[in-house]
Amino acid sequence: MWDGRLKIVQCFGDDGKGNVTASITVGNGQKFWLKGYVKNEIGTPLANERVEIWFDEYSPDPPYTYRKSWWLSTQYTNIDGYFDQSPYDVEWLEYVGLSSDGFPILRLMQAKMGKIWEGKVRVNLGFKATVT
Amino acid sequence: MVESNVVTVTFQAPVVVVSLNLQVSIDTKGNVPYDPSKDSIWFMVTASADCYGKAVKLIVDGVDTGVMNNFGNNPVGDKTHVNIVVTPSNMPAQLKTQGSHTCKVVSVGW
Repeated sequence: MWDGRLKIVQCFGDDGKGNVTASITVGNGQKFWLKGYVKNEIGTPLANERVEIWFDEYSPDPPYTYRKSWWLSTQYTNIDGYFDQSPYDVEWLEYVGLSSDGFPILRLMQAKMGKIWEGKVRVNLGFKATVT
Repeated sequence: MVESNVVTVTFQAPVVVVSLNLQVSIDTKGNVPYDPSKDSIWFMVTASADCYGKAVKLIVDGVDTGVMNNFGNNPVGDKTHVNIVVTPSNMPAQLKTQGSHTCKVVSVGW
């Protein structure tokens, strides 16, 4: 039950190889997933919070303007305020080829939904979690 | 709605091992051997993978001729083929000398 205090969501990427940070590197077809925690502004873990996981699409070239958020999955925090994408919700990137200007064209895949998005990636991909 | 920090995922490109195959073609119009003052020599390079935009240059008798071209630089944008054409006007000095020559291509900057 929300008590009126501000909620804080912290999110990390897990590359399945022991790295759980806000910035991960993955290879072709390597599974990764999002996890984190929700707490209130005084640091109390918030259990049973509905957390949505998203991929944020930006234009592939500068100035990298925001285009759209692609929904990936819904998770709920446990009694300690933690959420973790299940093995059924993992993501991975597939290398499609090179763009005419030499950058990789990648396909974002998700275990349950299959292909989510495909496009040129000049720098990296951004993911986030939200709570309401 | 409350948003989290952004988690960035960087893609590590697969290491693609590329092999290059070189073939040569000379239309001597019936003359043997070729005449470097009249004939053009076509060095046709085929890559085992997409090398679009990448350059290769011609080495003759172990000497860098400086003659190069980029994959995809052809009318149909073929990403695995490129031709290096030497004409009488850009014929490397090595190919103007009589005798047999060893020719190969090497990648430039990749």
